Amino acid sequence: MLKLIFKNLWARRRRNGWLFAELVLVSIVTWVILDPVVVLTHDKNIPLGYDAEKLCLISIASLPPQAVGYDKAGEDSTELVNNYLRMVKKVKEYPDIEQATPLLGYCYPNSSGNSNSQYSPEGDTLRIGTMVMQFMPHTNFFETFGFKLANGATAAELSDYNFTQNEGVVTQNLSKSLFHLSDAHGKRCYSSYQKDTTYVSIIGTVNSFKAYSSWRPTCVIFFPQLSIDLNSIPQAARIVVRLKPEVSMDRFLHDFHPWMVKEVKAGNLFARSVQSYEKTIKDREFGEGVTGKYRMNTALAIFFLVNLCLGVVGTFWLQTRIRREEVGVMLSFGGTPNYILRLLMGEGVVLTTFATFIGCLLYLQYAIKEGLYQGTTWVTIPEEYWVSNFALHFVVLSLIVFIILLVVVLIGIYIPARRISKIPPTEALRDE
Amino acid sequence: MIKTYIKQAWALLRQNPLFSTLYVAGTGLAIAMTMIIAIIYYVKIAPLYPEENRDKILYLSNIRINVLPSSNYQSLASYKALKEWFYPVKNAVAVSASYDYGSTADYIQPSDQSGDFPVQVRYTDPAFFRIYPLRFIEGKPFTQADWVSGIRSAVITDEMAKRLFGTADGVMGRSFKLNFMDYKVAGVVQSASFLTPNSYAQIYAPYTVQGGYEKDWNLGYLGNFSVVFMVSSSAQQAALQNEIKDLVRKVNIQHAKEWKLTLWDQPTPHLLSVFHTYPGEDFSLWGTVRHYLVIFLVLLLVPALNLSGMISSRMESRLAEMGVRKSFGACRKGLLLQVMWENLLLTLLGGLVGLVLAWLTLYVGRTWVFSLFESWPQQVPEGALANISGEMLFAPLIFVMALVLCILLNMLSALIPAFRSLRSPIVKSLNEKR
Repeated sequence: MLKLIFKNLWARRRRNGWLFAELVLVSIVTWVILDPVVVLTHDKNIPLGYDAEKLCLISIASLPPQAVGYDKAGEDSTELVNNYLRMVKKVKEYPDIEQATPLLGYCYPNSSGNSNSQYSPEGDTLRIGTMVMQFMPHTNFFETFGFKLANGATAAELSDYNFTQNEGVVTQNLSKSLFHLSDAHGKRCYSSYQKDTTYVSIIGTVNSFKAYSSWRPTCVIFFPQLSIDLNSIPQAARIVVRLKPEVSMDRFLHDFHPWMVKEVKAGNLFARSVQSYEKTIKDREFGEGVTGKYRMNTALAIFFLVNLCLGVVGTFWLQTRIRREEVGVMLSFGGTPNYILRLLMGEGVVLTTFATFIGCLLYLQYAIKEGLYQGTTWVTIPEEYWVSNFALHFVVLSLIVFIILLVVVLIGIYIPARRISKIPPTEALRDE
Repeated sequence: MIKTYIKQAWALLRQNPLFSTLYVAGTGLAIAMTMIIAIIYYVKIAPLYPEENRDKILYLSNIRINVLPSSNYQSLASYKALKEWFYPVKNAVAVSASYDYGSTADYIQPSDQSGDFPVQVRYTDPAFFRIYPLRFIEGKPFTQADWVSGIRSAVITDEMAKRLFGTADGVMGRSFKLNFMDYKVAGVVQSASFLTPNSYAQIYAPYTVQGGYEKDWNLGYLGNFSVVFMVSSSAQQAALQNEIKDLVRKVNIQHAKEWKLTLWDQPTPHLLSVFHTYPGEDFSLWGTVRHYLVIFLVLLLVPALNLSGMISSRMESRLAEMGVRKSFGACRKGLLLQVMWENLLLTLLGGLVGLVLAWLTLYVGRTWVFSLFESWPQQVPEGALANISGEMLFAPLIFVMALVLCILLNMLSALIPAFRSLRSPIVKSLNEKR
């Protein structure tokens, strides 16, 4: 059958030429559109590393001097900190809440800001780009987020450890990058800035996680906040809570808000709003442009593919009349309508295969020079994923483009092909 | 004559349901995509409530000061700049400034103690209400006297009034707490939509209530005010732009040894500001026109080319009919006209489907579709309303645009196949007995 397909395609090369050219163009366009979509989908599907489903963030505000109930004594530094911690304790009293942790500053998973540095293993000059995050010891930080420890210890033990200055916790990918170990407990690393070198002792290793949902996992080091920056209260002071497993997020948000407004306050501080962590993540994705890119690219993909389908339908429909005699002859010589259908679909497959091959080859020239889409992470990523390997990325995406185009072309051919294959041979041959 | 064409076209449509469906679907998709873009820009450009004066409005939002030898400071204008440079301009009907003091949100403390909620507040001056004619349901704007003395008297929207007091009637003079301070309601206006962001707010208050509004953060002239001018005609617009250029020249002569002021081509007219978002950026008119032309061309040409294949096949099936009519004396031009009219009917049907699809998409996705073409998409703030009004979706110009696009699409997809098919000789056409 393949020989017949090639013959047929060559015989009608002028008409098929247009379709071929369009297929090449659409394959390039589909490549351009699908590259970000596939890479972003891949990155978003890497497990977050911490359990955001049952987490909420409570934001805190402070009464200004003109407000009713303002107490000047509450601005004293000790009172400020104590009031903050009293609020955390109060939140823990709510029945649906399992854990609550104070979160201070702008460096935590999915925060609006981030801090970055470079760390090297002791005795080596290799530098690894690392994100720096902070936590308050003895506040159940690691349990609330749901981090798992590398060496089988519990998160509670890590949270309750008596951290001192220059002790930290690393993620597993940082541990592997620095020391080639799954657990860097007991090791030391350092960072240097101009003439200063600071050594850090690593107390524990947690699982790798994604600082932002659309990023790939980056190396992170956690430092304990041994002194509290009072400027952070209340703008950068939050409370992260973990709900009990059986509690529904929507119902919790609805029921908790009035209780929170009434009860969670101390001194001049009060809880202002509560939002689920997943919403915070979604908002950030929108602000980053990730959600917009998805929607725009999906719309464009649908547009081009539907139009391609219509073009294929048109081209093959055009051939319905011209190929009547040929079909009549084949049917009278014992061909089945199924055979005719397969013949026509086969022509589509061959056309698409060649066109996609050429289209991908052309795109390869561009990709070699400009590179392929690398996602939104702008911090160094320690791990290799197939999307960061040029050859694999190119091959997988070309295959995806090929399959999508094949499906669209086959759908487009099927409609007129059915009509052609159902022509009774006598009717077709009558016009011979 | 046209009636006959349409009757015939309708009959043909019903005879070939599959072709008709596919053609209408293809056209519908093309029209939907182009109309979505067209409506998004229509909402940005056309005079809509409360920005009916868009063709007379100019914006000035960025000033840059180069301190010799090499430091650059860029920001909004300060109160001093307003007083000395912008408020006193002669070639403007009204000058208004809005105070933007950063990302700290404003919160209302409701009287039922049910917890703070964020609101969009615009801190401005009385001239704002002359430039943006908001419809007052009750009361009037805060007065010049209120503004001068920094009295906490604010205009609120009807949906905000309903949220605060449960009703939008008879709320004048009532008070509410904003950022823990008491404000009185000076007037109630009909809510606008976040889709007209330059004038959108839920509460309009005088900026003089903000402590420290008259401070600058550097060099006396850099601060937090963005300025809006309204002119009476294009002649006055040109005069205003010249006046500002003269002002910059004079200021630079005055401070020649200390710093240099740059305002680029501001104040920017509204239409230009839609495409030239950052005054300091390079802007090429031809480049922008070309950019949108290419987009529209692609969105129309690609479907046109794909649909022309289907139309060619249809023409081939009608070859015999055309042959008979030609042998009875019909001229090619008349036949072409008929074919184009029949096709136009189908295209218009597709256009209608596309328009409905566009409306639905814009309504359902109104919180994000309008920011699709922006480099830094802005999330609709909590509580703000991204209403789509009938004025935005069903304006006559939108129907005209859709019609023009349909005609264009029709010409692009049907003209050449029809023309080519009608060129075949009569004898050959008559022999095609299908």
